[in-house]
Amino acid sequence: MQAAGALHVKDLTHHYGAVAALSEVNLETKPGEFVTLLGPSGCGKTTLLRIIGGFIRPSSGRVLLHGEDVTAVPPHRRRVNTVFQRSTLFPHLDVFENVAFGLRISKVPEKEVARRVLDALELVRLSGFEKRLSHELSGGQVQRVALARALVGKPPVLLLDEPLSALDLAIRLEMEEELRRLHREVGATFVYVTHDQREALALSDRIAVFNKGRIEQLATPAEIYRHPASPFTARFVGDANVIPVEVAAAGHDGMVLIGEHRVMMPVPSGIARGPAWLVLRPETLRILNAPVSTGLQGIVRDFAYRGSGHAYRVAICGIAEPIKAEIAAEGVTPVAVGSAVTVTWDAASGLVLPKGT
Amino acid sequence: MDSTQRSPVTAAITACALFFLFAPLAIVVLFSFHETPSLSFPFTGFSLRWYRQVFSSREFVNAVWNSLVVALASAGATLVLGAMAAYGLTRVSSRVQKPLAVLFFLPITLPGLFLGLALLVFFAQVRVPLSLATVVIGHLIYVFPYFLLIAKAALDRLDPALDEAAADLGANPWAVFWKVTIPQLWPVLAGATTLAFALSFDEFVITFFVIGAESTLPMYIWSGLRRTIDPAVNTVSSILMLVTLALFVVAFLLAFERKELGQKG
Repeated sequence: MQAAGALHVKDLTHHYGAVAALSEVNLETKPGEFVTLLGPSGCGKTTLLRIIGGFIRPSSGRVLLHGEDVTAVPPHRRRVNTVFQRSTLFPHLDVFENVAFGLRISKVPEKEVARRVLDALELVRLSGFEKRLSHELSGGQVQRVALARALVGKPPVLLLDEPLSALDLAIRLEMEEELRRLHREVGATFVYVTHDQREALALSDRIAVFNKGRIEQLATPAEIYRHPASPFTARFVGDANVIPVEVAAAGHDGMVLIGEHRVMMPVPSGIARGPAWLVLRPETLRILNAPVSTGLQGIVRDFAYRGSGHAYRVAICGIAEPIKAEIAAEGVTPVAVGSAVTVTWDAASGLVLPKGT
Repeated sequence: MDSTQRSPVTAAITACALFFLFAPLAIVVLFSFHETPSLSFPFTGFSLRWYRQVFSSREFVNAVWNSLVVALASAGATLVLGAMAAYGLTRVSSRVQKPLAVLFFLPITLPGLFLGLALLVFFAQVRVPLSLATVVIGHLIYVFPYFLLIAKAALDRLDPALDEAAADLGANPWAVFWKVTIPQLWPVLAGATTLAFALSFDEFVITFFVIGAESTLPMYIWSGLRRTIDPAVNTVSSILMLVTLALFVVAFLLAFERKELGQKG
């Protein structure tokens, strides 16, 4: 439908007074990619989006669009459009005129305006809503109009600033599907900001995990989920047990000490002996209703039925925080709270991270 | 809140208050239609003779004309200066905004007598001859705070995120102003301008000091009272009241009616 754009953010640093909102951020998107900036509030992801949109001049660093430096270009001259978190539909204009706004500014002939506006509304499945005013729309419809308005000018890069965060869960799931479809059909580069890791995993080609103004990890959702580069990422994306361990031996036949337990498992050879982190995803764990010599022995402290799974908290001697384990419910009788159990996992699903991260 | 309890005392006080507020006005209007020059009861019959007399008076027509010119000029000047001041106030730093707003709103607290006297002395000092122009200046000072109060409240309600959205869609600051800010503001600005017009149209005290040899409608009424008790005064007062009332209604409908504004077409 339109030329996809490559966006390149180079050594971007931004300070609010003495506070660094962004430090040395680098990000290069492929044309047509869906990149999500994920992180807790105050991590700098929105600042980065606003810098790309042109609303903030960064303290240092550059923003390149198709290789052209646009760092100093004001928002109205950037070929980038934004969908904002809150409704920013113009209250004095109806849906048609809202979508037509940008086309009229760039003096597109009237016939083409009508055709493109109707196409854009069809794209977001709001045909027939042309004459509505913004206060006559539901929250989901408002964001669909905002999407149509941002896409009608065929921007090579579309910025989305938590566009679903104000919506109810059901509408949000429906809109996620819409966003995936829109991205496929439009072909523009989408840069999406969210603090919702589930949303990020569901939508993105790549995710940039932000923490304290830096990109902690930039990778595909699967890579981020299965091989988080830091305890922060492991905890923030999906559910994870991040357990302090002692590396006794690195390498393929490595060994770690977890509390009083010795566990044989592969440890990346770059990790030195001594303190480290062990990351275990709850759904990769198994619970054996009997003491076994391999694995971690502990006591079930809590049990919750989750429909598709059984969620346990197992207290392990020598580990401060009880371990979270989620077992598929199908055909399994739940283990009673208070039982002595053994927690095991496939050696390959445990991930050891160096202490410094 | 429990407001269902009704005491006959409060009812009586309310009735008295309304009576004293509106009875004199009603009598003025009533006697403007009286068929005799008598200004007291009994009321002997209706006639339009005073209206005919008033409208055939060159003095009256001249005063109406002057009032219109003055009100139009003060309202126009207030619109331009007031809109700029309100826009500026919302965009300066909050440290400057407070003292600046106080200075702008201060004239509301000044008695007209004081303002009129001060202006008279001032114009004499700087040797500006009194005329309708000096009246316009006086009225501008008088109505400006009211206009600013309304305009600033409306500007404060505007969402700056809409300006960003417009810029994002390619609108330069000029286009943002004309296509986003003004369409949202114009009903309020029109209402506030109408209010300014109405306030200026029937202003008397300041006008009295700075008008010199000219006359406006309120001045005409006053001079009519001074000579004799001319029954035509009732007529002119009624006309002035009707015009002002109509203007105020229009002003408030425009400025304060919170309907969804600016529907296209």
